[in-house]
Amino acid sequence: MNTIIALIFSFTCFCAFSQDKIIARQGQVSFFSYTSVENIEAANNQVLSIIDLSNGDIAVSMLMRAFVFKKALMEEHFNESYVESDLYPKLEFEGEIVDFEIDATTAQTKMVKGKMTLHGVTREVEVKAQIEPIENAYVLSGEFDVGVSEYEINVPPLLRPNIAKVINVMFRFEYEPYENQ
Amino acid sequence: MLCLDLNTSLMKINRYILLSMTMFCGMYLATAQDLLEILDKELPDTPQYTQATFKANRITFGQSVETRKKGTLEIMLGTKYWNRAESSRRSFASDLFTARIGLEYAFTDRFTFGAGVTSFDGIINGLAKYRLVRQRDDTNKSPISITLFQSTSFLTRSYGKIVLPEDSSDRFNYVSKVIFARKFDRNFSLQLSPTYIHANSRQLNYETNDFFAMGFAGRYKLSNHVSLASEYHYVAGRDEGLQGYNSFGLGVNWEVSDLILQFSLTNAVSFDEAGTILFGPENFNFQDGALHIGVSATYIFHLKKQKLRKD
Repeated sequence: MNTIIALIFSFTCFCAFSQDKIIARQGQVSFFSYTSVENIEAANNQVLSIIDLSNGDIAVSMLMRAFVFKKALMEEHFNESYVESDLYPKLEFEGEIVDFEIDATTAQTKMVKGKMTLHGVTREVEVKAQIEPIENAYVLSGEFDVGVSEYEINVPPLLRPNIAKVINVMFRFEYEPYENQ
Repeated sequence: MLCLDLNTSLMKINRYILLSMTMFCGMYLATAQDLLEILDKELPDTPQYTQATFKANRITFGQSVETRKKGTLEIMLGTKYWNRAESSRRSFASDLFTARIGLEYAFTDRFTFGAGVTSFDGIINGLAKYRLVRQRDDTNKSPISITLFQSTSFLTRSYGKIVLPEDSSDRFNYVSKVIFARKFDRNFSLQLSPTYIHANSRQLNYETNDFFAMGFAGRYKLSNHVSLASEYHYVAGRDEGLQGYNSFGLGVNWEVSDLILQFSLTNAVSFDEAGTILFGPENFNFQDGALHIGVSATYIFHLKKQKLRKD
């Protein structure tokens, strides 16, 4: 009897820990630059994100090369001349969902706080996100603004009218339980 | 007996507790692992092709390894300005001028087809480029890019020392190239292009219709929008001089959004491959008649827009 209890204990232990992380492998991040000269839009559909449900810790990682633009040439310019993805291939975010309620059955709006690294520059960011529980996981979505100059991305004077100083970023991550295999 | 039994079962329990404790600890360590490290292992492994080995389909006047992405139309307006060698009077800007208007369309990411016509030498040419191998950033398996190039050109008038053949079938020239290129680092690219030329007419006292040449080209990026480009073509098996000079070009490429401006100094008068590689009338120097100042503007139209999302 005791043996069985011990077994069950160890088993639930195992289950609890393998279940407490959720991952999004095809997260979507898109950004928009609106100016009177031109509107630029790009999307990345291969964004990774993981949440540790036990403490609300969250991480996001994406390859800058995976952004798709309507114009192929813009994609090349974005990578070669602006975010310099050969030197800084990834955008990374690491932080926490403040006051994350694991048991909530309805959508909750929480602040996500942490450090974002882009173009070799790490900055503290705070983003409002909507967290919606779906079948045994969550959907996290929201939007925020990024100042181009905050991340030392240089825009030549001639092209300043074409690129907005503040880029609007939208994100949507659909999570599933993370299997630790 | 009972005592012994109890003892063994206690030991068993101890063993399971120990086991579950180790498992617990193990799992705890796993969760304490950096979340970003977990994501690093999950990064998608889609191929990443090297971008911008050269910035345009042309280095200065010769072909580069690059082709455009599917649905892209390049309109190139090229001009060259130079003075007559024997001219005694001085014109305000330059004595002579040539212009080429050319269109190049990318049917796929790999295949580009183009055509153009030039004012001074009257050469009409058509070209096709196929990207056979693309250099990749994410693995070492594909360290170079290879592009196949073929052009056909047609002479329509005599110019300089070039005489228009009587028979129209003799007016064709064919150039085939295999272009090998490698982007060594973010600033520096090199290109080597073995070239075969077949000219139907024998210009400049040539004893043969077939020529082999080797093209050398390089690019050095000066800033995010400006790069230096240079190229040289060596033609084997001819007397350099009366039978034409090897062509050299030195240029600056400046990229402004959808427009690429190319400024160059060269001894080549033509824009067509056969014309530039084989029919170079003068050696590269800064004297009148030899130095050609090239200014080209290439505008890129995206006739097909890429889809941002799969739907």
